[in-house]
Amino acid sequence: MSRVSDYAFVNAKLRARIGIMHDSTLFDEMIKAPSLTEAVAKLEGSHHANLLEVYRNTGDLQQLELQMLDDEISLYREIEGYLPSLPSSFISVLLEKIEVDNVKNVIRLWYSDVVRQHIISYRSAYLYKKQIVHEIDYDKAVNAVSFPEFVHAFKGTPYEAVLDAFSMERLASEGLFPLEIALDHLWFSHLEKGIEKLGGIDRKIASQIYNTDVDLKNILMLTRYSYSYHLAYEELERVMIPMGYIYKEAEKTGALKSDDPMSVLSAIVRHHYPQISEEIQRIRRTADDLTTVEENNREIVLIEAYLGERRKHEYKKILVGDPFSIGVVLAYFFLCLQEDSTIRAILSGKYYGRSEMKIREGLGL
Amino acid sequence: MTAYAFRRKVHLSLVLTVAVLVATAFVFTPSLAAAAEEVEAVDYNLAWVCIAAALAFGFGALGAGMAISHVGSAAMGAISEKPEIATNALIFIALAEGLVVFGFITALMILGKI
Repeated sequence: MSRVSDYAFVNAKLRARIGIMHDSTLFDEMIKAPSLTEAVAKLEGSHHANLLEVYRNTGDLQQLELQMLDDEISLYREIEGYLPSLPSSFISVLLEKIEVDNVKNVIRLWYSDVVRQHIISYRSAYLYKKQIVHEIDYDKAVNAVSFPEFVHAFKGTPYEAVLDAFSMERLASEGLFPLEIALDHLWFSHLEKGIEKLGGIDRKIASQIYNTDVDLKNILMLTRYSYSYHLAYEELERVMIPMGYIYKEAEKTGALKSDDPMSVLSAIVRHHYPQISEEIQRIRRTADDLTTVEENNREIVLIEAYLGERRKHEYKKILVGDPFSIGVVLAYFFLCLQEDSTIRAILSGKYYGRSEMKIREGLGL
Repeated sequence: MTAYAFRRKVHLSLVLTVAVLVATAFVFTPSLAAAAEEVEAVDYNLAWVCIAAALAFGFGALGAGMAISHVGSAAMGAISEKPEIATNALIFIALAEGLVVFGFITALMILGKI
């Protein structure tokens, strides 16, 4: 089968869908709506109309978010069905990311219950309990009274080995952060293997997209942690995603073990992304006079927004490239996620009674 | 039926069509060759002319089939999401269809030389 026959149907379908995606007018109307109910009502007639139905039946924003997650999973499965075996198995790897995030939610719930002794019954109702990729007994996990029992709920899944490396004592003393990082790293290793399995141009495109994506995340990580929390460099190495051009070069040159790792890392970032580096410097220069924590956070928000724009730009670039490759599928997923997160942000802004300006600011509009 | 299974069926029918075309060419060529022997005034090999015509039409049909399978599946994908583009999509399918017409005309021109 040729690439043309593999992708003609699905990519034409997705390009047509991209063409009818929500424009900024809908988001604008939602932001302007005086209440949450009216903001949700604006979804009528759109491809998110089912959310309106869920909200009418339950009046619960969290149920609506759960429905959005279910729709997202269905979307991945639908596209998976249109593709031949290799790209289809890569979509499963992408679906695994949703599962990893869901597993992290389960861990947080269990941790709140058993370690922190908080009441979780109202929160566990909003947990996604259907099978995503692997068979996991979410109820058993949430209701586990000990850590070994919790781990047992993940038996036979790749998460079992990661969870096994931790203990109740370690979680109680270090918190959930190391475990969540370990789960993220597991997914990124699966992603790398998934990319390797893809053939020819697909491998090249997926590798370029995800390496750049991870680089942008690592840049954000470097900016956030080294600047705001002053993590030790050994920790910095641990939190950096072990993928992407920056990490690979830092690893090759031993940058993280050098005397001045930050300047070496900055040089690597400058070399690969001169524009980004310049923009971050500009944002930092303008924020030089700022001293309070809140103002430092504002700087991070600005850098985050800029890197978000860069991600969007990278994916849009793929759309004008090879029409018979996995690029269109990946760009479509990205645009869908963007759309969903915009809707989530607007609705939660409305729920908490934030002003129009605050919501727009949060969305970078 | 998934799009993938659908495309496999389209390819299978395409292969069968070509097989039938080739078989037809082989069945009719000997009799035409025999007819050529009877017409002494004709100074070129009638069998080769017929094969050339069959190839012109056959490859035209094959090319059109392949093009329509790709354009058609893309068109179906796009139309399923945006029905208003059906007319535009049909134009592209018709362009691919044109290949078989070119092959047919070429075959007629070759046969016209007999």
